[in-house]
Amino acid sequence: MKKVFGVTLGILTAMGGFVDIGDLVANSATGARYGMSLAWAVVLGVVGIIVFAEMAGRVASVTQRAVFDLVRERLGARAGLVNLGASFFITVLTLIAEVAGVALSFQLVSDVNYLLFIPLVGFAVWLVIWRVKFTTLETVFGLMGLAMIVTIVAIVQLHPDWSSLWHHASHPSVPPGEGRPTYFYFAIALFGAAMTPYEVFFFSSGAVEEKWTRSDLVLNKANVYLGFPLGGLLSLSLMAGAAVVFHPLGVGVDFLSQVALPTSLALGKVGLAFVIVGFVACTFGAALETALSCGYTMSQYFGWQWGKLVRPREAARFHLVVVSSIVVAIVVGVTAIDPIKVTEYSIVLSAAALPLTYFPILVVANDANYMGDDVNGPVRNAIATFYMVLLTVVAAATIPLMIATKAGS
Amino acid sequence: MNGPGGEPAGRQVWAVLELLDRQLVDRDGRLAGKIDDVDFVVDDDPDALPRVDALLSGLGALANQIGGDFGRWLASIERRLAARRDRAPSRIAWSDVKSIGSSVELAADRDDLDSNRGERWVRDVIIDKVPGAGHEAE
Repeated sequence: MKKVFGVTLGILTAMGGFVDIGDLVANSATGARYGMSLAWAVVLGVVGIIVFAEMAGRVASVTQRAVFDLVRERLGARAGLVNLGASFFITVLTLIAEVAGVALSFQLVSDVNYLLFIPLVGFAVWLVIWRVKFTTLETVFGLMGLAMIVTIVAIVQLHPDWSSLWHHASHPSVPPGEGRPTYFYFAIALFGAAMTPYEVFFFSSGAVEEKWTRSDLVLNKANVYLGFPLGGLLSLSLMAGAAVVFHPLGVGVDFLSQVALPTSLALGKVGLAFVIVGFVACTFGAALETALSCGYTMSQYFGWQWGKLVRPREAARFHLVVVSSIVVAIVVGVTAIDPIKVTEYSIVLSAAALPLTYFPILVVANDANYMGDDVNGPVRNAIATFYMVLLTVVAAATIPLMIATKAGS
Repeated sequence: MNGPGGEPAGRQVWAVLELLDRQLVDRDGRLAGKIDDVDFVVDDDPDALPRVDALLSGLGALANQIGGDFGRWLASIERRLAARRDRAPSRIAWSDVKSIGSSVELAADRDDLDSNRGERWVRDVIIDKVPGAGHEAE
């Protein structure tokens, strides 16, 4: 019974934890600009994160090694350090975006400028990491994140033309008047929002810390195969909401308040209250995960003691990295740098950096010496290899597309 | 080569595969850094294999592995942090190695290792000053 509860909880938290500031912004912005014609990129991203997280979780359960531990071992000191530099930079960038996202959510409720909230949010993130139990943290923010289900209710209440939405989603095409490069740039943004690397750093480090073994592989599968698709459904409902409300008017999404608008139009103040609780939970939960991931990646590369299950003084350098990352996020955040722009850059660069961490995990998941019977099977391997090729193409295309489209503008 | 604990029969290891970049774990199961380099000694006997003399760990040894300008820069930081004039990185004697698996277990306490100076400094000077640093996390 306890196991069943654990599985259910895992699914719920994976569902609530999947959506973060990147998904909020990317799905709404593309829904407003392209209707549902980029829904395929969300599906591709969700399948991608399933493949990646399932392998990382399985590798962590069997070998008790988290992602950056394996990156260092497989790639060596030099290539591993380049990898660490890129992954760490992107994770800090994501942390800046998440902290600003929490602050923007508070601004929606209070009308107080979000810049004033940023230091408070940063401090709260640190305090929770310093003092609160891991399981409490996952449960509270995962379950609160379920408030985002209100976006699904809202899209039903808006009585959209379902057949037209479905037609756009299932017959993707570049809308007239839009350039092909910009279309694919937005596809990469959606892909990166679904497959942000910190999700996998956090997931695999959590599995190692909670001492998952082969017997927890069921839990791993349930989290990944049910939680992430349900999270993807939330992403698609955000996109559909923006497609119904903003797309016909030709209005772009540039503010977090606009992400909430379809829900408040459909369900009034109650809907708005739910969606803001959802925003706070998703962005705060993701801020915790990204801040921890900064500590995980660096500590695992250098071999320092890391984790939340040991006393902070036993993992001194890990905690120093976490707190320094939060300080950087606060300092950058209060410069009034556009948080929506930071979010967009963080997800696009995430997509570009994915092969760096995906490749070592793919190699280890195929290594029978390490994995024994739990090595990748032929089907899983075909899909995983397809994604390796796809991620490489995406990584190669990202920067040229970013320059050619002036970052999608 | 002398095996862990100085077993007389010795044990052959593939240093690069089994040692380099592996996790060090101390006698209490705490993570104690990576093996950043391996130090060998060559006996007078021309037919003998080189023996592992010590494991090198810490930023100084890592800087040598990385090499190039960036490696030299890292090494200079390490020397400044350690306030040392010599270029020798921190060593862990081969006799302190207990077992070699997916990680390398040591018979030593991580607080006694030269390579964990940085961890101790951060703990004593920064983390311990914050209330709750010693509380049980779970």
